[in-house]
Amino acid sequence: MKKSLDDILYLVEKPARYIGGEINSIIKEDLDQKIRVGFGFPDVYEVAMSHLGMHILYGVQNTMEDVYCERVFAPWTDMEKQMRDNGIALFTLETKTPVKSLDLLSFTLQYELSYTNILNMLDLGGIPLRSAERTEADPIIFAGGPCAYNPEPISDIFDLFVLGEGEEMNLELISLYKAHKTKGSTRKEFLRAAASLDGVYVPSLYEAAYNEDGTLASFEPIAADVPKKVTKRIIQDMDNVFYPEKQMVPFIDIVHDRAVVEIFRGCTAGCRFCQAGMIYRPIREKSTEKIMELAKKMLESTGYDEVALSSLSTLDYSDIENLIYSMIKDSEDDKIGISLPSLRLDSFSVDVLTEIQKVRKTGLTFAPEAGTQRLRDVINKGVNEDNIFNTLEQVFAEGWSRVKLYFMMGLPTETYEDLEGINEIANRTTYLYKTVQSPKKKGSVAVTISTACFVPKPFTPFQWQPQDTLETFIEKQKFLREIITNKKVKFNYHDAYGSFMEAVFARGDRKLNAVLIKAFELGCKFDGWQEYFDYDKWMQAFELCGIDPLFYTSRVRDVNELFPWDFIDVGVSKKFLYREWENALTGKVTPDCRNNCHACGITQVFESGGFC
Amino acid sequence: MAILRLKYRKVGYMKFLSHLDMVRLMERSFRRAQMPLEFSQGFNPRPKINFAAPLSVGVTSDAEVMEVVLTKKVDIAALLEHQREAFPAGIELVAGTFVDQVGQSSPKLMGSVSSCQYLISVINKDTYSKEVVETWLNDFMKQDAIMIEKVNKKKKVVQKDIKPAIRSFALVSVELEGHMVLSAHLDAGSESNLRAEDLMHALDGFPGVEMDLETLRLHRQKINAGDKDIYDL
Ligand code: SF4
Repeated sequence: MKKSLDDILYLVEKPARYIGGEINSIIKEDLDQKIRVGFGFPDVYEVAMSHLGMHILYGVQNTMEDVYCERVFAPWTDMEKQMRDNGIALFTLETKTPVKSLDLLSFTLQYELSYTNILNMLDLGGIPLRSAERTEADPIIFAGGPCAYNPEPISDIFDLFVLGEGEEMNLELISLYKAHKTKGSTRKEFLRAAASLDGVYVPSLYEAAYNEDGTLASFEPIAADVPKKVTKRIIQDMDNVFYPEKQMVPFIDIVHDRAVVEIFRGCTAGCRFCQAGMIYRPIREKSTEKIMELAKKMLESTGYDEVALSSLSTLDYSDIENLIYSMIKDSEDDKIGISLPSLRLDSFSVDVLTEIQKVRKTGLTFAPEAGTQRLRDVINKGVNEDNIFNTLEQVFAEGWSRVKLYFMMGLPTETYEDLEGINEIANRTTYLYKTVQSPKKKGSVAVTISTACFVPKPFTPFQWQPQDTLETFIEKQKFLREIITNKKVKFNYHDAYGSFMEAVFARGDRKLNAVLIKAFELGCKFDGWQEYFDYDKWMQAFELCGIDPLFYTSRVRDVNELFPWDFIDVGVSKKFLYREWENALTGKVTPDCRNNCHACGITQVFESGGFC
Repeated sequence: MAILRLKYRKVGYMKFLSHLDMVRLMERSFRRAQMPLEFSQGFNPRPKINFAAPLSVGVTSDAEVMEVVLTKKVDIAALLEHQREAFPAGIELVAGTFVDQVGQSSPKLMGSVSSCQYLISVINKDTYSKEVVETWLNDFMKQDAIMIEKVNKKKKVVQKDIKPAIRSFALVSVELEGHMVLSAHLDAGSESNLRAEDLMHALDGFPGVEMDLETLRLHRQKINAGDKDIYDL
């Protein structure tokens, strides 16, 4: 006998992942008169609900009276099995509506390793995986988010992509859909019209041709009315744009369980490995008054006892001192905690920390990123040894004894000397702890060295560069494991196999669609979860499709190579990125551009945000 | 300082929240309702919220009882009236009262619980008549001892006689398609304690009616302190 949803919820782990009904989740009536939209997040509830972009887009789309946007997340594998065994199709959290009956279903692309989950969710919803196979009975499937800046490896899956910030664009898209639905247009007609919206890319309206060596020869729209270039969208006025003052509050413990106020977009630091730092330019801040007002409203509407100030580099906010100290003053009575997602290696960070972390002396994380000054200059991480050790000294004096230092392995030009540098920093750190005299010092020091494998990303100065091979990564990890002998230092490293797959898809082209679908058919899902990632299955998929993954990762790309993502205009110019690569090679530092513009090109495309 | 005691229902999808989820939910709901919370002293101040008896995941209830310490008295009627603005659907405040009389501290809520009453619904593998089920239940209760296996705190399997912990156990109704409803009144104190799930597992092993325990659904009707509802203590 087939079981009902209620029945299977008794059989799965954490059933509250699937029930909806959270405080501030949105319930609407007259459903048959609404345009029904699904916001898909291709990961489990705890991850999805921690994502600020989800809260923003869910909220803003629901401001449209004739639209109902609901959440659709990836069921965990136990739930998926129960759903498949009992013929329950993927449903929305709010009204438990099967996703196939929605008008539009979007997915946010936060990491490449979530792509198989998207396929799994479509499959679980009874929706054909390829855009070309869908009929008028299926929803329009679209995607946005950082990985949409190279949409080509998933171009067969999605009907369209939205590039850039969605607060205005998504509403325009949904309105356009509504107009076409009322008119009775076909999918094809709608997609053709959508292609003219700023920021929208409809992959079926473009054709790619390849050179004999497999590189892209040309990439062109199939008709004159389809734009040759797609320019990302941004929001200019951060104070007046929609913000989810009524953030949803989950019942179960999630990854980041707190109110979140976004304080600015963009970043001026100019780290050369960082895609976010390039694609989210220009910098645009909310005013201090607006941030304070939002924090107050959100704490009232959510009942949270913690608020995070979110951005790519929170302590770079121009009025940060005033903001933080005002917030501390406001929050004391209600026992509200303030948290910062990222810390700089400087004394101001420690001052702020000491203020806001009066009680919790938990571990602190800092990111020197590379082990030597030479390599830190190559990647333009504006941090020197004095910054690192002065900060740590101050941290130890304030009573912290556990620090985590985060590095990347396989950065362009890296040598074994740079890896030794990581060990030296670790050793100097434990030694430094011994020398610090402070009444607040307690216990012994514990340093965690954590290394990730570098993945070159599109729209960064390193987009032309190869990734280290798996063999090299493993060799380097072994090297570090062997030289780190200090008992007070723990060495963690990120799995190289997953980073390799991430690198394939980050700079991939249309040929990878077939591999992705094959991998899904072979059973790949939750690739971002180590217990599920299955490298052998992926290799089998590449082999069956006759595609060499190393073509995407291990090749030095020519200066003049046409990239699959070149038709997208993020504002920062390819010329600027290449100039930055040349600066990297000579170790020439490009200082933070808040005070000194380096002409990255963004002002050619967008109005200045006030700092450029 | 004022101790607010509340009685509430936990129904609908809220049955899938764990006890820890409930602690979080209550704290946040009180904050949303702008209740003047009293916090514990020390490095990590927490609001003072106590529950009479934790409820297992999947169990609904008509009579949960909890207490929260406030810095001053509030308008209880207003809290109940506006509860939908602060509490999620499925958590329904039924009644509230202040329990701190001057010079008298609140009785320890959890320590006063002595028994709980449940409605139990389950689907049998076949459709049996009322008489068959009743005879079977009677025979089950007529045993000198009802032994179950329990894993104790030291992770050892021990035998335990649950019969003394059963205050009453009876058939309420036999419905269509093998569905039956029972009622049970079970010890729930620190000395003697029996979970309804364990009772049903014991019954399942008893020859006669065959049940599908995957369909077992529990509903708590009352939490007692002696012969009173704990809310009225
Ligand atoms: S235009 Fe100049 S100031 Fe603005 S982001 Fe680019 S480099 Fe920085």
